[in-house]
Amino acid sequence: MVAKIRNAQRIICLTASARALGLRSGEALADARARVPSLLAEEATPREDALLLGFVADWCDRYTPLVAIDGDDGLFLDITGCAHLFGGEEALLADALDRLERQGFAVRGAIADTPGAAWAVARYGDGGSIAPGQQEEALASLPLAALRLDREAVEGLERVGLSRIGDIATRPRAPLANRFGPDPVRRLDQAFGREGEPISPRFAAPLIMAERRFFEPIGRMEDVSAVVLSLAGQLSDALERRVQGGRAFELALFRVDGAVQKLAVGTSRPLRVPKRILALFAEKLKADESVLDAGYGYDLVRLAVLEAQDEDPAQLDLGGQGVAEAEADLAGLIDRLGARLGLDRVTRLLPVDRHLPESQTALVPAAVVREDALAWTGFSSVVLGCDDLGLGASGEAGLLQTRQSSEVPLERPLRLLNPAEPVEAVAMVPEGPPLRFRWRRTLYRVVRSEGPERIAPPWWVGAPDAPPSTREGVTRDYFRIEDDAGRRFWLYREGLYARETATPRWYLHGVFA
Amino acid sequence: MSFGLEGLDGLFAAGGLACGSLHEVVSGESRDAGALSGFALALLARVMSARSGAVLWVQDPLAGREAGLLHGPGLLRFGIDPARLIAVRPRRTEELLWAMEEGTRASVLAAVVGEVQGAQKALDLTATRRLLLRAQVSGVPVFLVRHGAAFEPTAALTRWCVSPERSQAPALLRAGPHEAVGRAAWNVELTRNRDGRSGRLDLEWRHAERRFAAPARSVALVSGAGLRSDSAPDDGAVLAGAEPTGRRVDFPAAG
Repeated sequence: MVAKIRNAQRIICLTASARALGLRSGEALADARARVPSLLAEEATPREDALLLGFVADWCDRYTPLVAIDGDDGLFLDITGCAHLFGGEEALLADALDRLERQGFAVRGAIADTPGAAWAVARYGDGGSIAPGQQEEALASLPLAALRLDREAVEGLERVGLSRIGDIATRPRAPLANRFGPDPVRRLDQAFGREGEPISPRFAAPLIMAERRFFEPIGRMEDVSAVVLSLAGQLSDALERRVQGGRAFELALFRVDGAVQKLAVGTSRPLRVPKRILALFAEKLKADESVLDAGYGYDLVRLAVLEAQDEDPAQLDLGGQGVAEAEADLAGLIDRLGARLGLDRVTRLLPVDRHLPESQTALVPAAVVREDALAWTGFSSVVLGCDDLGLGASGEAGLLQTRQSSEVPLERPLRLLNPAEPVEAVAMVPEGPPLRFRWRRTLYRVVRSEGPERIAPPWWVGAPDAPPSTREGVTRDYFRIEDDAGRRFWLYREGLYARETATPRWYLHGVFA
Repeated sequence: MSFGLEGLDGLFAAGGLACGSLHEVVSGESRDAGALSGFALALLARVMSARSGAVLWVQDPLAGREAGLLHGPGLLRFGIDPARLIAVRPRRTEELLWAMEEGTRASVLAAVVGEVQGAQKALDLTATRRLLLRAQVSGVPVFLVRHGAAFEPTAALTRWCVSPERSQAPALLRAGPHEAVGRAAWNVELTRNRDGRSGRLDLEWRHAERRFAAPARSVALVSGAGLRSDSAPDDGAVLAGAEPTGRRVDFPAAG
């Protein structure tokens, strides 16, 4: 493998046979070619390498949920409390290395009390497992580079004759830190466990998980479903003990060839009925059958609760049985739709107290929205307040009455085009309604109109004397218009004549009934 | 479900729209999206006041781009509580049909609306028949709103072809060169009705009362019987602009 480093093609990685020929990494490709004309060189592909490392990390999930990526070519696994599942640390390490080697990777691994010590032994030592508290002995004979120091620090230390970890481990700390900076001392402390060093796992560990391993891989979907159902039963018991229900579940299927397939579903309310959990995954599978390719089969299936929420047992008796059931049915429907289409595609219309029409309706996932946030009645008083209906202090009750008795004109469109579409309009200057306009290549003749209704941006958006470069910063004059066929549109002119713009543009923003 | 207008209810043997069934609301041109969604939403408003529960509004992505997204404040004035809508945005027509079928099975819903743009291959006679059967089982009314697709094969119980209609301007209201815009109005042709007669009539939407009404000049033409029944304005409201084409004024291009 070669890559461009400091303006030269240099070897960054080589095979054992190349190393036997005396080639070394860091050497310029031209030099190497001169010595070994038959050298095969490939351009390095860091992005693909990182992707592959990600897959390997996914695969390592089988040992522990806490897997962190280290640099370009390493992984940290926090196996605290996991090793006994695999027959001890040595057995776990052997199993992992063996399986990875069979997949065609050249791997080295080590287990130690600290990430630093494991890193050093895996990369510069003989690998294997270091007994608790034995880091100092194990690391003493390793070169300084094993301490994860940068090249300059290592060179500096070597210049004064310190080349092994053991050389600096016994030295007084203060002069060392004074002369070579805090790094060597800190790395030493980390490796020996005197200073804590957290690894940053790629994913948070799930709250609860259940898994099953198979000696013979399983591949039929019916079998997988049965396993998921039984795992869901285990999760359900665990959730019940916590008086909780799951809001997000993840199913991980580990294929024998090393690929890991993950499926995640969310729910709109805490859920712990195994059959319904399975049903959500079934919807997800139906949505995209190509997602799941069993290949030679799965040898590990894991179901995890990523997010749980306290389930309020009292909600069952609020408002009688019928209401609770209807709510549950609706939540079930939203979950099924969300599992197949994606939760963000099943939305509710949330009122937003904003001035510009396009930001007044927010589409929020139905699974996360709270019913009481959808109070549009409160919103209408904000908008209707500008009509002189004499609402005043009469408040909500008065408003409702007003709405029923007298008719508020339909001054907002049923649908908004987002973004507003530019139209070519002929209008009266300076502030008159449009007379004709062309929208989507068709000419419309205006026969009725109402307006302008001025909707200005909030004063804190854009400076008053700044040029109207930002669209938000410009006043809009809205007109309700009707064309000669009876189509009703909502048009606006952007910018005030003379003050904000010389040639105002027109936009069609919505359609009325 | 009654329309609140005798002339319209009379077209149906049942005296109103059958709830547990599939109804199609179509327009000939996709630029009539306002009229089409207006009439569909008016039907929906009637259903929503008769039935409790949420409404599933499934919108094909193309329809969303062409006709726009539902606007809460506008719906509220029109007589629909936006809080009761669940907007679903599938990626493909197959997903749209699936979501509609799932919704139709859930009897907690007040209604299911599916909105599609143009002719869709997946939305054929079989697909509509499936929706119809499901609706009949669960009793949930299903509306299929089709922009620019007036003549597709369907199994629906009724089909309403909607085109825009000039509104009746409120009296004495003039803004600049034009009269003001009045209530929502449509010309609706009931081209298919397996539960009564077909017909064509002008309709106006009284959004404050959430009911249909006949505009002042309405002429209801009922096919079959060949009747021509003139419905007078059903209340004493003063309506101006009786001659719809007399007020067109051309202005020289300015600016």
